[in-house]
Amino acid sequence: MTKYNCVVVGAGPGGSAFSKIAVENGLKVLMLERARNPGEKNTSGSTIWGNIARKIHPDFPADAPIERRVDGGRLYFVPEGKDWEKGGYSLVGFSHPSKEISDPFNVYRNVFDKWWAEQSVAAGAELKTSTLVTGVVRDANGKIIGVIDEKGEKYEADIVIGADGVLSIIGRMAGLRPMWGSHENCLCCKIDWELDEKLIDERFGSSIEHDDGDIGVLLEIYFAQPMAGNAGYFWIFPDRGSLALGLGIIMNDLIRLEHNIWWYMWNSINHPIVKPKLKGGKPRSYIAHSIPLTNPVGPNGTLFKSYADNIMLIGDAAGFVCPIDGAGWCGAVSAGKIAAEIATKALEKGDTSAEFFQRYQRKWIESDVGKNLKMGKEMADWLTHESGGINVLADQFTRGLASLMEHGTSHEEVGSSSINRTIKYAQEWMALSKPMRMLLGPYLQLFTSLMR
Amino acid sequence: MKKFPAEEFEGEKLREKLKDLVEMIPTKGDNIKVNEDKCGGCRLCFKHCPGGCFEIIDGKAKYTYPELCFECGACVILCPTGAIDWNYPEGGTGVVLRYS
Repeated sequence: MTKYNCVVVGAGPGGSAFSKIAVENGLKVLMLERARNPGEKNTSGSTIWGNIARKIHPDFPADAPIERRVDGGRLYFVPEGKDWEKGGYSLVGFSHPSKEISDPFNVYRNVFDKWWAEQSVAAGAELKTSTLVTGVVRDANGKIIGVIDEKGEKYEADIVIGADGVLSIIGRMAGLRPMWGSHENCLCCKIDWELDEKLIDERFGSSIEHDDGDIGVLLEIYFAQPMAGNAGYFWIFPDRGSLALGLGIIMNDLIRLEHNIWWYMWNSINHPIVKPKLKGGKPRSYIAHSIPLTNPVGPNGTLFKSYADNIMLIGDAAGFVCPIDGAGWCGAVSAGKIAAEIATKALEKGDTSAEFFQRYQRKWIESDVGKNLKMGKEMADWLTHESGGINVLADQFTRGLASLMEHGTSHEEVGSSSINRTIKYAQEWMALSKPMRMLLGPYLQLFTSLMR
Repeated sequence: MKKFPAEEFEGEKLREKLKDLVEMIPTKGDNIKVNEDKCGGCRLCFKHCPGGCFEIIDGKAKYTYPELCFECGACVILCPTGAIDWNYPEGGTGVVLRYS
């Protein structure tokens, strides 16, 4: 039996990111993947961030199989019982301004994840697919020293990386986490909706001109009572010849709500705001999965433990998913890199104990992984508990922000005193909360520049 | 806005809706089992399984239709009595994405 430095369970974005950095640092790494190809079982909004990808592949997106550049998005707040066709909803635009801050792309994850894993293999990692890990190998003291697959084959390693998703077998076997409960999981379903590229450009294309002449797209996100029952959101993420239509609702809320996830999905795609945007297309495939919303940074600083003797957890297995938008790709990749650096140091020192791996936890908390989890939790709490919910938010935006936006488009007719009033108004709104500051910040900048 | 009847998205009707557009590598389907002694008949798995894999017979859940299992874990996560014994299907089998 070959002994590895690291056996990585799961060849998703985190597992492959870990492996690429680890082999570059001279470690012997094996990835085990239960699917035939990495990414083929994925349920994802499928937006990935270039700035994070470049942590692993510095020349990204060169050669990467990307579908679309993302230039920004539209955020809808849709209250219940309004006349939507007459504008009974609020719309907030946002943009991804620079390559350093995000640089997002939409991808087909079954294509992209396969490519992503192949880069790690090209760098020297081994990949064994169609291999389901069902257990761990322990030494005489009970410490985990490897994993075992369903056929009984054993794989020994100095370090086992649990990159095996929301239901993580490694995390549970290591006693680091249970199967998370219905309040900690979001059920997501997704439709791949075939639509002509030209129609996608017309309906979702951004106005930003790119050097290569390509048209970037805008993401659409709907916080909508009729679509997700105040408990999640519906999304449209455009690709080249199709749209990714997704819906996620926290499972506890599903129990409380009257209907199941597909019912909400059907109501979303038939909603008067959404339906015209899908016209001329048809569904090509369906998929569903769970997404963890566990808040591993903890409400009062109680930390989820992401490590044990010889073990580190990364990605969904560790709950590294932003509580406000359910995005997990960036956290998985960033944590994969951090874990690979810690693994390298641990093997140099010959110390793979839990005590040494405290460094991993410290590092990811300080990094973008921990910061996003913390900020996301703050925003999610505010949205669900303090804002009064989507109906109140939608009203606020309709009255407040919509007027700001109108002034933005017709500022020549607006006297400076009116703009001053608008700025004052915006500042008051922004003082209310962090999410308001995030949403209104760009508009305030615009108005301030108009005053100069 | 017209709302759809709930029954359209449960059991046989849901499976009919989804089946042509879900790609599956054939699998034994014995990875999920319901322990009938523990099952309280609450119907949560039947209602919320996104693949419509469960049916209720004589007040007990049964995992009868593994053909559309998305491996999402909703059944085991939602089950209030811990009656579901849950595992992934064997490596290289089960649901796969057709496109994105």
